[in-house]
Amino acid sequence: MKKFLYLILSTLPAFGQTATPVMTARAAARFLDQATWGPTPASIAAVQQMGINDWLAAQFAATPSDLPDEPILAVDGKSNNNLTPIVGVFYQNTITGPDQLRQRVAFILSQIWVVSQVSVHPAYAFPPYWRTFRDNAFGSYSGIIKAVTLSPAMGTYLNMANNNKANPVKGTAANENYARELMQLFTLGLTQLNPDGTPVLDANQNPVPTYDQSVVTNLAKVLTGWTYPTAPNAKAKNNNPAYYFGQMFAVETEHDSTTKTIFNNIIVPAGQTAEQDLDTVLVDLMQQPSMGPFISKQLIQHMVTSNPSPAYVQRIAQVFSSTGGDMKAVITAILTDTEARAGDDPNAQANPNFGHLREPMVFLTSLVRGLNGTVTTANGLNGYANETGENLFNSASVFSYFSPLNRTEGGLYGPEFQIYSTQTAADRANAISAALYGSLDKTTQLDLSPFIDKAGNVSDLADYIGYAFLHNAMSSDLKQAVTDAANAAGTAKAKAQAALYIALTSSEYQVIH
Amino acid sequence: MFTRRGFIRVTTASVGSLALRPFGLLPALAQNGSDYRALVCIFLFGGNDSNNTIIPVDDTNFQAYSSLRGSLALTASELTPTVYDASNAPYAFHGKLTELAGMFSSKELAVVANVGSLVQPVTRAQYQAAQTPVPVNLFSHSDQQLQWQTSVAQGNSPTGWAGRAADYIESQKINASNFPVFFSVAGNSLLGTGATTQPVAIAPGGSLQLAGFNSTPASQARLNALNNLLTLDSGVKPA
Repeated sequence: MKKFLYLILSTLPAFGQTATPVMTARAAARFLDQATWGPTPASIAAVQQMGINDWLAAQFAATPSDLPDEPILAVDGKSNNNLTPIVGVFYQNTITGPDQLRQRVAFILSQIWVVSQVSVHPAYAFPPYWRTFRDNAFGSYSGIIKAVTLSPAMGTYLNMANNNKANPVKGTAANENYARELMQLFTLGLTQLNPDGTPVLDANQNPVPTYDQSVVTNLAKVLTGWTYPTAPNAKAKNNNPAYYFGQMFAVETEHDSTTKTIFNNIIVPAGQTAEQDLDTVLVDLMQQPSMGPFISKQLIQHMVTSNPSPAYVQRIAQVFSSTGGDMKAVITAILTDTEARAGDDPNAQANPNFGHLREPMVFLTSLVRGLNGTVTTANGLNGYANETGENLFNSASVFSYFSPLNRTEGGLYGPEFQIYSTQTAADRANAISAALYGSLDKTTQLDLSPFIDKAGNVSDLADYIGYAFLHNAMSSDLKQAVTDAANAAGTAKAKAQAALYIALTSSEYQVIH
Repeated sequence: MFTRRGFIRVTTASVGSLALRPFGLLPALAQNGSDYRALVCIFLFGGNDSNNTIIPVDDTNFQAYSSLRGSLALTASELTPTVYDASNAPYAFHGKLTELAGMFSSKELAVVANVGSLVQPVTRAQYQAAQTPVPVNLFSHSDQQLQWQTSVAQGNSPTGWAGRAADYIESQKINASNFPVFFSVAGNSLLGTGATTQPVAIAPGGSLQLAGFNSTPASQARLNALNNLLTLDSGVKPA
């Protein structure tokens, strides 16, 4: 009897221990680098225990973070253009928010559907625009298209708002900016794509364009007749002044209701309302075969690897088209794909071109999260991101911080390398130096003690850094360099600082594998 | 298995060059070198309205300009005083460009007008008939910005024209200084990307100095460790 009881107890976890992990630390950390703002010891342990599917389910259900609404006017009565409070909360959410996956996907969507303060100045425009992606990150891609199309912030940025039908007396025609970028950047791309993302070629081996100028002109007509929401206590006009809460609404007298021929020779019939025209286009867009591979490949590039195989793109595009652009299904497919997970196995044959450069914001948040950081809303993290080419909500143009088509040496795609220059490489190294030897800003607190505690044995220290930052897989060359730097340092703290500096400035860390 | 090919080499191309190059020479070259020549390119990414930059002001052409541009046309009062080109034809600059007008008058400024990317000469009729090759993705801003930098209108080019010039200058060992042939003060650019040379990008007021190092043995050991890794990753030995 006594022996039997002992056996039962032994199958339960001992006090203070947790259940047997279902994933290795390496696999969990790799996954977290793809799905979040950077692994932490706690999140690595959580994914190890939960496995990917349970973790994803928990993330899909996690309470969304928010950004604070801002006053329309500053105290001097002029437009309030100060984004600082919003940006501070944004970074705080990335560091400590529970909804890591939602925030990361929303940020990726905002890099595809760019609105920048370079031409949309009022600060209060940005939290509602951001919520468009936060709220649709796990929704449908067609929902994203419609929500952004009717967003007043995009209305200003690409002239969708107050885009009146042609006026022969004034000699004006519909503005083509939004129509063009809706196709080129947000949904279809310039070139027709095969299901695996490779370009469709004509008989002369030239890429086949998705649309021509006449389609742009006609789609611009389809999208006429929308104006800004009417501000409280204001009288509605055909062309309202800019107002950034709520959705744009249709003014039928400014809508071009003639018949229009758009992409793929689809005819938008005459006599429809502005909203009927828009819904027609939404349905037709979602049925274009290029959209699945075009959007899927960009999502893969942002989360997993700059150069996915055509087969990987095709698997995700298939999920995209068969689910009507269901983002939960697409994200799950991207993160659980065999190509994304192949490197979880330390003995697998590595693809040397797998992975992508850590973009500035993810570099910073990963650094702070890995160093057990706490931040306040007054943090200055965006200053470092700005210096290195990624000033939140301030992309230089609609082409975002970097292009999915940017190439590096040897013809490899390397989107993030577009903003990785001699200068920004030095700036990134110096941000690491500031974090370890000084401070990143006045309020961000980093805790090196877990590393200092290991510094009595430099090999243990290197292994722990590898666990925290390098998917438990530091190369022998890097371990040697880390060891050399730490051995030359005096105190335990100095050893931890020197070892972390070498590891975090290394290409192994800068490039997520 | 971790490997040092692929992206690792690309990251170290940037970091490695910053650790190896004597950038302190820049001010010295600019101030002292009597034989130092530079071609300075300012690219506005299509942000300039060139039709309202310099305007013909003889009666016939100004009327044509005004009617074609409609509400966007500048009036006479919005222009600089008249300047004359080499054939004595009258022009004026946008009223905000008085300095350029002055330089044009004193023959310090030349305007190369009516330039654009082409695969081959094409007439309006040929364009409309779509029988002649035209630049790829002609109305896509991003593609046209790239074509201005690559000078390749019929497709994608991994190199820019200045980068290819830098490749040649390096290969001929014409550049006697340690200063890079191409450098940018506005971030990376395809313009300066060569097949064998990389652009060096610096920021105005920025520092390429690595922070946090001093002459103590511990600090030097850390710098050595950093350089050893860069050498391994890039295959480039520190100078």
